[in-house]
Amino acid sequence: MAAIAPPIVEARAVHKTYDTGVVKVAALRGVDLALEAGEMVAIMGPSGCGKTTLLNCLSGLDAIDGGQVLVEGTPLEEMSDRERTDTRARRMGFVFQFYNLIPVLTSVENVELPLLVSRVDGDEARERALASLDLVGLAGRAHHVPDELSGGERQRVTIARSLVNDPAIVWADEPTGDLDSENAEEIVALMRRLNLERGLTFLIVTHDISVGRKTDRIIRMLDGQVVEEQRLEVPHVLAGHAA
Amino acid sequence: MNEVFGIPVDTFLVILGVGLGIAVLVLGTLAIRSRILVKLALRSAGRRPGRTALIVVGLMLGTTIIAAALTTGDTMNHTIRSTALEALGATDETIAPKGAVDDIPGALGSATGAGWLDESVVADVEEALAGSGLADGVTGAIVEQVAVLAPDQRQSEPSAVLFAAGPERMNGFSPIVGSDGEERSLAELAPGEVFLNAKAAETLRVETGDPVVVYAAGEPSQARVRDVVRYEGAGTADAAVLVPLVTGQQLFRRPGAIRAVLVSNEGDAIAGAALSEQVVDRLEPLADTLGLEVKTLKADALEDAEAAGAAFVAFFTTFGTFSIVAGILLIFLIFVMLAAERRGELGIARAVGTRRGHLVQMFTFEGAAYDLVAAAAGALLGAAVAFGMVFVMASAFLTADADEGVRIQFAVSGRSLAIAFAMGLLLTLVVVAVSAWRVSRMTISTAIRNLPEPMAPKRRRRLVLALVGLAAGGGLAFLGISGDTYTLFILGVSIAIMSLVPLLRLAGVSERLAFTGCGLVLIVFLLLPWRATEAVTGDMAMDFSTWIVAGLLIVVGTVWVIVFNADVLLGGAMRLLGRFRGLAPVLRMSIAYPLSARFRTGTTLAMFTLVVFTIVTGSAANGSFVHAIGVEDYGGGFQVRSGTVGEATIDDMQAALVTAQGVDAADFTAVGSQSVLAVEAAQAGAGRPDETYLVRGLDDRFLEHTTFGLGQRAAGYENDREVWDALRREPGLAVVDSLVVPRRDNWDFGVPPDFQLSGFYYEEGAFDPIPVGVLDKQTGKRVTLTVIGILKDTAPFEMAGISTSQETLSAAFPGRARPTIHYFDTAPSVDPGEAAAQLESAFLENGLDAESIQQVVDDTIAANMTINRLMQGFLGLGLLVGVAALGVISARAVVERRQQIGVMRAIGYRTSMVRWAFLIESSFVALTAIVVGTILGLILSWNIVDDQRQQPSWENIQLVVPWLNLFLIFLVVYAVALAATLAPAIRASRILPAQALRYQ
Repeated sequence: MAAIAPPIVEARAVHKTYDTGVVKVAALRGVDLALEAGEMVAIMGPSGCGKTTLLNCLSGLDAIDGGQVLVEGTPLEEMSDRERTDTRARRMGFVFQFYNLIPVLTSVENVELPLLVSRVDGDEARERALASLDLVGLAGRAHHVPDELSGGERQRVTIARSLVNDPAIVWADEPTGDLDSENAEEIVALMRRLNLERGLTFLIVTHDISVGRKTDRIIRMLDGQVVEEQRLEVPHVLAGHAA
Repeated sequence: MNEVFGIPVDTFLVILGVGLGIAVLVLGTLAIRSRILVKLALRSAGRRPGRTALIVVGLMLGTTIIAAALTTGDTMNHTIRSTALEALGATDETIAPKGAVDDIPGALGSATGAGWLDESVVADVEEALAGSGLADGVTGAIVEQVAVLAPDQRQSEPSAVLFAAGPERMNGFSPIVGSDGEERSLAELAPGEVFLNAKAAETLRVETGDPVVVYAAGEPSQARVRDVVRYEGAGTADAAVLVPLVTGQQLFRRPGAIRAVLVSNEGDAIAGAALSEQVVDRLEPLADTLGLEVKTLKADALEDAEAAGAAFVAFFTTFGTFSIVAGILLIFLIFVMLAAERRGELGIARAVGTRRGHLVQMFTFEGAAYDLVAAAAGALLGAAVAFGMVFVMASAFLTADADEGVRIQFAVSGRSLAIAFAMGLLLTLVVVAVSAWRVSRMTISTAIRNLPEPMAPKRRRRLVLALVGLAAGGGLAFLGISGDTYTLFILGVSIAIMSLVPLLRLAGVSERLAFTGCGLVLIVFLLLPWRATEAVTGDMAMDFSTWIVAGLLIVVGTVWVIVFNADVLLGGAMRLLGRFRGLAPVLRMSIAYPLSARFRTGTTLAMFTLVVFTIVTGSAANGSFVHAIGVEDYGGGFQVRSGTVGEATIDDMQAALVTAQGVDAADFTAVGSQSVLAVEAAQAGAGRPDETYLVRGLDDRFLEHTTFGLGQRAAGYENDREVWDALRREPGLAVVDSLVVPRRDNWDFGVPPDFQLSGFYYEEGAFDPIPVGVLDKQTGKRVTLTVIGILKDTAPFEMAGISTSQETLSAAFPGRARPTIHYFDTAPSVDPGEAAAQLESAFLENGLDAESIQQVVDDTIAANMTINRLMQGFLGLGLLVGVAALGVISARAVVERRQQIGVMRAIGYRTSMVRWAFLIESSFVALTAIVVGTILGLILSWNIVDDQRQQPSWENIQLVVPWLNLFLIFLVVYAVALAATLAPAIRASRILPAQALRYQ
């Protein structure tokens, strides 16, 4: 019997409460979750259900109040801020709804930033950043600043940035939320392709069911809890494409 | 203080008053009409106390600099007034023989032949003033220099002043206060007793009861100190001996004679001077009858104090101009950023129906609230800064004028604070109103969504701007050339160069190329050696405005070049420092941000660069001038100089040396002597009135030996020696100092003497001999002297005057001028300092006061360097403007970049990296400004030095850069800049990524 690989990310009874000083809001109430390497998972649910909070807690962007989060087997809460930061730099990529590119840097400069943070040599970083941009089809826009790019292009740059350090997992928070349907479809297809071709793990927070349908699994949340999981078949076109 | 920024104070106050009145009226009317807008504005101001405090600090810096400059003027005014009041006390006028001037500025020794008058004149004066209600005191007095020795303490004071007056007539004058605080009278003094003032007692280290020897007219008299007293009006702020008039007459062997009649006007020491004109009117007929002269000593002293105060104000406001401009830029920056922060809110306000005018009003009300607090705080802080500066100045004056009794005393006038407050308030209000107008011109839809303002088509505006600029620039340049005014010329050409930018943009040239090209042309044009420009335009007049205008425009050009070539800088810095892998991501952010925000970075860079540039230029140029002073310039071939009292002259010093005790005549290889006489002088045929000035009689030995350099000679004289020889051989020839000569350039803040020559420029080379009429008012005799040489600027103030041969002076005014100033050259093995001490000891009875030239030069350099350091410190204040700008920008950046910081943290930036990114960002601006400002400042300093090297007097001047001082100033400022950024940097690093990324 083949050994079962441990989950790349695992949440055990995770609790998170926001205290505004006036009210306490329980954003996560005992969330259990496991992501396998190479999986593409969507987290869905109504606004305020705790999707983004879960993503932030799993990625180490936010601290949890109870439970445990293991990334590649290491509990996040046992890491110092510096170790968590270094883990993000080397093992994670991020895609955000509003792209969150640094407006004063060109596309390639934005993309190579995680590599520079990880102390990769400047020339090598530039080479890998250009390759990453090429992978998302934006090699020709490498020297344009975000203001000179369309929404779809900006999101591709964000994806290129998230890939450039060969991460173990990419976190995507509403990656299509600011895009029109055509661009949204292209972006999801791109992520799926990267997932299939490169074995990249994706966790996508989304409202959009059409995005969810293109993942391996949909996790539904309500009021800070996981209420449903749904495994999906790999869409034929994409599976074929991967082959 | 008579003038501020070259405008008479009263006129200036009226202008400020009108400006403030209009501002208050307009704001008041608007406030009454739109109370809700006032309420909203004040609420905004009070919403974030921390930020409000930062804005107020930023706004007040300009006011602080103005107030510091004005208060320094007040202090100098007050100091000189106090010194004069201490010397004159209640004495407002004197009636004395014509031409009798006891204390001739620039004379080392006393004037001789001043004349005595019969004490019966006192009664005549009293009678003339009787019933006028103008005077409350009239007394006869002897105010004369004496030497004093304290035998037990082995201390001497060669130039104390003996004040003798009739005790019964001292009522209207200042009281004599004893050491026990009780009032004393000269009548208390028994024969052989004297009062000493505190300064004399301190110098001689004597106390009540100690014996002293007073050398009056060269004869010693034993005396005992009855008490150490305080008395204002002894004729000096320095050491004084007080005796009854009879004793004074006995000491000088002049029974029944006095030197002058002193008059104290009704009112206190200052108010009395207002009556001087009436007193003069009343006394002049009597004085004419008796052949005497009425002098308004107090009014003249107060006027001199005003002029000196104004000179200091001019000095500090001129050097402070760059800081004030930087302060204005800071105010503009603050309000533009405030507007940027509120852009969304303002956009929504506009969307729901708020009119553009309402936004302007609301913003202006808010600005006015900050402005009011900032101007008041700035004025007070400026006074505090000036208080600190006074300490530094006090030490400088102590070094330079140790024997002159000048003690710097801090003073601040309500008028100066009011001017600083009003100027700060108005300047800020104008900038606020302009910013408010700029803010109101927004596109509502983009403002709400916080998107960049769309670019409007600018073709027509560019064309108008270019044409107006070219026309104005051309016109100014033409006016400059036709009026020989360099400032106008460079201003005109620079405006024309800058106007090419919109023209080039119209022609389709890229923004970078247009700004970079014009910026470079501007820099090269303004930094060209001035002689290169003048080779084309001909000689033109320059002054401090040239430096200010050139400096401002050079900085504009430089900032253009830097901000429009940001990527090149970024690339260079990354290539250089990016090799350090840990530094690369931090550097990328910290250079990219400032270079992408052109307006902010350019403005902050301009502020810093302006001030750095001023500090470097000011200190390097001043330092170069100070270091150009040498013993040769100051001594004129002699190593020791000395002065004696007028009543105990040494007519043949060379012979006296042979018999003097404790002196080896062989130590002195040359002795030259001078006499001095206060005269009325005017250039013949120039149509100017006679003015009081000084004529010197140089004896043959002085003329043979002197090497005092001449800045210019009359045509026909090949070298300086020929001029001095001509003075010795031909009667009637003279040399004048350079203060009385007209110049094309004006780089001086000093108050020039009233006596001035005209008809040529000092810079023009050889001149035609100039006839000068000289009148001795006492004898009524007149002689015409022909000026054939002008001393260099490097000659000491103690050579100021019209110098002719002693033979000429004696022949023209027989018996009037005897030598009281002696110069000595010493053998190589002799230490001039020791020789000076030996001379003082040997000729104590003559009140000989000697000093080595080296000591004088050292003291002069030390004092000038202290003033130089003071100026550096004052200018350094301007750097706080830049520091404040960095603080404001950093604080704003934390808010603006909140999400980006979140992303940075998400992709792996550690908290320390975020912190460093902010600190390096500030460093980039501060260090770029320091390096660029230093380079530009050094080039301009070199130009100034090079230009001066072509001028008479400064042929040997070298550029001297006070590297250590500059390094320390910049290090401190850089540290403060980092400290100002530290708080925002820490705040940025503490931003939690999850929260920062939560919302758009």
